[in-house]
Amino acid sequence: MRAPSPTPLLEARAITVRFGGLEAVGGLDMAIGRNAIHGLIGPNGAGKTTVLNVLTGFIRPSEGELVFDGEAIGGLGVNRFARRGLARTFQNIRLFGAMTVLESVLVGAHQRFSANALSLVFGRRAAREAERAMIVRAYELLDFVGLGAEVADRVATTLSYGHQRRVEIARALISAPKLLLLDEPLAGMNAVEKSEIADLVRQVRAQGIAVLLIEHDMQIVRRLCDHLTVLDYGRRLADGPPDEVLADPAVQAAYLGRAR
Amino acid sequence: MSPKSPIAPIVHPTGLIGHPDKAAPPLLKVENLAVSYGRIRAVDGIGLHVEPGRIVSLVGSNGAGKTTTLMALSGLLPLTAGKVAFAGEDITTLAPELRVARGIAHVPERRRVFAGMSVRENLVLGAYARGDAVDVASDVERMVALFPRLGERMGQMAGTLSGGEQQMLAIARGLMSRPSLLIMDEPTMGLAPQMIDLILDTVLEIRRQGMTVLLVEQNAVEAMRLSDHVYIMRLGRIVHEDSGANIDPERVKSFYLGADA
Amino acid sequence: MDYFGQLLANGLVLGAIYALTAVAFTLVYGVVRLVNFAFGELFMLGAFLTASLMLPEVRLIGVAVPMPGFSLPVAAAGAIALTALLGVLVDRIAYRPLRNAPRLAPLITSIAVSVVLQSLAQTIWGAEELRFPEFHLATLPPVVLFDSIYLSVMDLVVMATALAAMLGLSAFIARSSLGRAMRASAEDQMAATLVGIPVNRVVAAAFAIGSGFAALAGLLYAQTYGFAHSGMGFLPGLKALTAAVLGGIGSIPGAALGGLILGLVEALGAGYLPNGTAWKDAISFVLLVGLLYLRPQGLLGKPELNSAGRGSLLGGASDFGAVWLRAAFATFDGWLARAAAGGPRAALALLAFALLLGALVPSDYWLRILTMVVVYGMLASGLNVIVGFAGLLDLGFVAFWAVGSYLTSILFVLLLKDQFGVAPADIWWLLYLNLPLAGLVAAGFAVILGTPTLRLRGDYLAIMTLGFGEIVRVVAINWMDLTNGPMGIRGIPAPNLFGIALGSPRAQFFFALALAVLVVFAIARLVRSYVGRAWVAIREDEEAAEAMGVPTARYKLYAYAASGFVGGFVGVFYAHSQQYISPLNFSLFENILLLMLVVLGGLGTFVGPFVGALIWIVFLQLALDLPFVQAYPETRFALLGVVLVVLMVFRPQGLAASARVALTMSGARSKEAA
Repeated sequence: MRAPSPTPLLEARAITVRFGGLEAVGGLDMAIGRNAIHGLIGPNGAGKTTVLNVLTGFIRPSEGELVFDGEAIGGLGVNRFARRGLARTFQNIRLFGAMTVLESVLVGAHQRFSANALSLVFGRRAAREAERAMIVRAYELLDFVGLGAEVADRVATTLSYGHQRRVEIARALISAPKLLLLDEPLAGMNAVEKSEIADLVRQVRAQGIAVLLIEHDMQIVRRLCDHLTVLDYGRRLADGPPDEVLADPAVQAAYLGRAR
Repeated sequence: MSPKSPIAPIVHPTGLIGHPDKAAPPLLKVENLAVSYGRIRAVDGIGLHVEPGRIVSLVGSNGAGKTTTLMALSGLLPLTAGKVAFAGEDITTLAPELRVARGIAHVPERRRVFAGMSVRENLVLGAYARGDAVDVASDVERMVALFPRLGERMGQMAGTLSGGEQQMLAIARGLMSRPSLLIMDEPTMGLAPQMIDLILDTVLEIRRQGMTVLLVEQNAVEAMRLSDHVYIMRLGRIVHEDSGANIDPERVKSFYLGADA
Repeated sequence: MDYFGQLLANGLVLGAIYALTAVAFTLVYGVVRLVNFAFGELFMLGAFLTASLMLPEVRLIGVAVPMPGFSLPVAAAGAIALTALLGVLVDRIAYRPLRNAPRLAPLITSIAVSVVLQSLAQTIWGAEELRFPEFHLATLPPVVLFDSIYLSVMDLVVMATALAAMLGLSAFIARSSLGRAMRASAEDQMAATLVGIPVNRVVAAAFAIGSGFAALAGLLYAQTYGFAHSGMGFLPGLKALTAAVLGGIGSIPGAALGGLILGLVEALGAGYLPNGTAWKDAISFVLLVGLLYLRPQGLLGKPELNSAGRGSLLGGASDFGAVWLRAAFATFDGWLARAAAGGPRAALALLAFALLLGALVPSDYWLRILTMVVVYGMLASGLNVIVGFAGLLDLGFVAFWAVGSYLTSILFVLLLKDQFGVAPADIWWLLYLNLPLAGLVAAGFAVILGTPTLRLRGDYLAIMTLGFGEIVRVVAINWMDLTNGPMGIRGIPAPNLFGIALGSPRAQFFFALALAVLVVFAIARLVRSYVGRAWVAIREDEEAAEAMGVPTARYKLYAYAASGFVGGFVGVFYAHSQQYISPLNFSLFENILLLMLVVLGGLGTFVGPFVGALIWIVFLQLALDLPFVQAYPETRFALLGVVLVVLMVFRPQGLAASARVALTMSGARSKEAA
């Protein structure tokens, strides 16, 4: 593991998101450290997915700025966020229908191809070699996420839910991101699958990729994350190491409610 | 680790209700309910007994399958397995709009009022399933009595109401069908504390008027305080149930925050 | 002032009719978010049914049938009721099964339903115009306003009826219980269900009312112009859709406003612009395109309607399809899947078969037909790039085809031969230059047309491209100096190679086959690369594609360009093979036909377009041997429409769906495995 450098990888400063008149996120400050597994938690409707959408460019915040790896990235198009090194998965798995696992993963490598139309049509060597290199990388990543080469030619959406989640992670990883953002990666999984995906997240981090994780299963969050940000009503309720944050009475009240 | 049988003995502190087998037949009886989204089993074989005149809560952390359960009960989602009986009638395959006519009203998550229509129109639509047009006006008056704030906003578009007012409207719209069972999905979500108090008081008032309430509530502390009976869900199953007063808050906390893992 | 006043009056009459039809589009769109292209045909049926009920006797399918001879109001009421019933039936059979299907499915179905209804009407009432019986009010002397503006009594009746119908509908929607239920269903179907509204029945009611309005508009139109014809609903239907979009689709006052504006603009444009009558159809579509570009939500609409759901017809393919149909296809599918997996070898086998066919078929007649199969297969392949791979429903593809055909014809005939007296045989090589040149010009054209559509999705995209296609056709008809107008261009030389004329049907077939190999090879190379993967990713989930770093706007333009290139490229050969082109070759119907061929064969496959073309064109010929078809050739198109509706409901991925296209370079894969 690399020694964590002092400047955070991604810094969100005073992010505010309004939909119509409603404030979904209010003045959120958040810093994701290099090589961190950072958890973003909070009760239903607290604005977690909105924050993740801001961090990946899907939503432009009404106010605030984003600094990624030392550069301001607010206002860029979604594909630019991906090109800078922010890769994500979706809460409801969004694999491309009608594509095989291999092809789906290769879409994630889009930015790493550059051949023009003519060299593609004439099958120039450079184009073929780039394709081959990425196919090899895709197989490596499928192996890394715990899927064998034998699933590569299956249509991705016909796999089991847990396997689809792994394909989605492989698809995100092939772009060689610096930060992987996972929106409820454990939802709908059984206990065994959950701990396997948690292990996978640790391995991703071991490769020097920071992870931001939205998750509801607090047992896993407690064990997996080394930093938590708690959202409630779109605002930051707590921020710090998991045990400290989860013991905070304000956090417990946000989850369980407080008696009148 | 917990009794999963839906006919486990229930001891209510008031002593009003004893063993469900001996009591009046349940208004809503759910057996082995399962619902899947594609390959994910969101609800995995649960049973519920809702007796008339009571408030029954489903609590549990996000993704436990509470909303899915409610949607299946009002017919919006097809069941993978299981049986639903309402007032002694098997309604497992009944169309959702006919369930409303039978007396089940569902106040959905995030309110879903008809934003482009006036408050009055929303209320009148609530009575759509009822054949009798005659009493609609007097029922609108009853709703105004229940929620005076709505009376001041009768002609206003529902989309311009505050979140709390929209929640009142959603509940009132549900009550307009004169249900015997009111299903409420997270009625306090995103509301300010005074508004939460008002809504929860309304839940008690609704029971006082003789209706039965099935409540999904994230605010577990409040849900336990209000309810005659509480089911705790986790990962699509019911992991614990008891009368509201008997549930150990620490145990609920462990389900939510995973402290005792 | 007099002239202006008269134009104004004409515009109001026309506007009233457009407005009524626009209400049909808007009402149904509002409730189920479906652009029901078939309203143009229900408009036409309203006219035919009214006319038939007013006559003492009508010839239906060639048989004289006694009719009641009602007066106009009674006949109109009957026709409206029948059309409303038909509208409900269409919804039940063709649209309701697709409520949760990807957006493309009901859109294609509604186009197919249009084709069915129009072909059936032509079969029943014949291809001739049916004179609309005169109503006694029409014999009254016209009303004269301000001494100079003449309005017939019937014009006033049309306007009054339209106004009354519109006010009545507004009151119904605002006040009645069903009207409220409609608005509630339009806003939130789930919440509507939860208050006990039977949403399916509400949708049926919207279809009934919409169809009734379309019928009313159609009969008023027929009454005004004095005839009914099976093709009469097409342009008014498109214009009413334009009016609905103009006003903001989903909004009833918007539809009324849009209809009036369109009627007035058209009447005034026809009156004041130079050669205005000829260009008046273009006016509406220019208005449409400009509006969709600047303000896609229309004048009174809400912006969120410009959206398309995720997923394609192929994405959910494995879950779709009736069991019986899947069983019926099992062997065929297995064969196709194996062939697709066979890659180049299977392609070569197919090519060898085609060559053998070309060498052995003795009849010139059948060789010509096979050439058409290849040409339409190539064109459909071009359309398949944009619709099948990138998932963008393009109803203006014929424009690219037209660009190619006209480019080579103008150069060869109008410019070099007519202006400079160059004999085509001396410049035979120009054809080979024109093939890529026309491809590039059409590709550039496609990018220009594609750019304003980038912000549009789903239905709006289809409508805008349709507008473009129509504009190109109107230009081709009316820009006499450039295109020779409706007379078309004659004497286009047959292909020629080093002075050897390739005019014989057999030579043309092989020529077409050679081009097809090039086209399919080029498309396949692009699709089996990161470009094709980006296209399919956009088709399946645009947002997720963007999140994976795909600049989706740019790749949509690439798809337009590739599709346009093929259109232009093939267009050149088409012109030389037909030796005569006219704007009629490039109508919207041709585009719809190409779309149907792709859908029939299988969107997003390489063989699909050719399979579709082969089945359709061969069937078209073989069916001519049946006596019934000889008498009623239109029934073939009705059958095509029916087949498509059935396919959309039961097997939306098309016949050859199992010939799945691999999206990785074939060579790269095999070396990796080694």
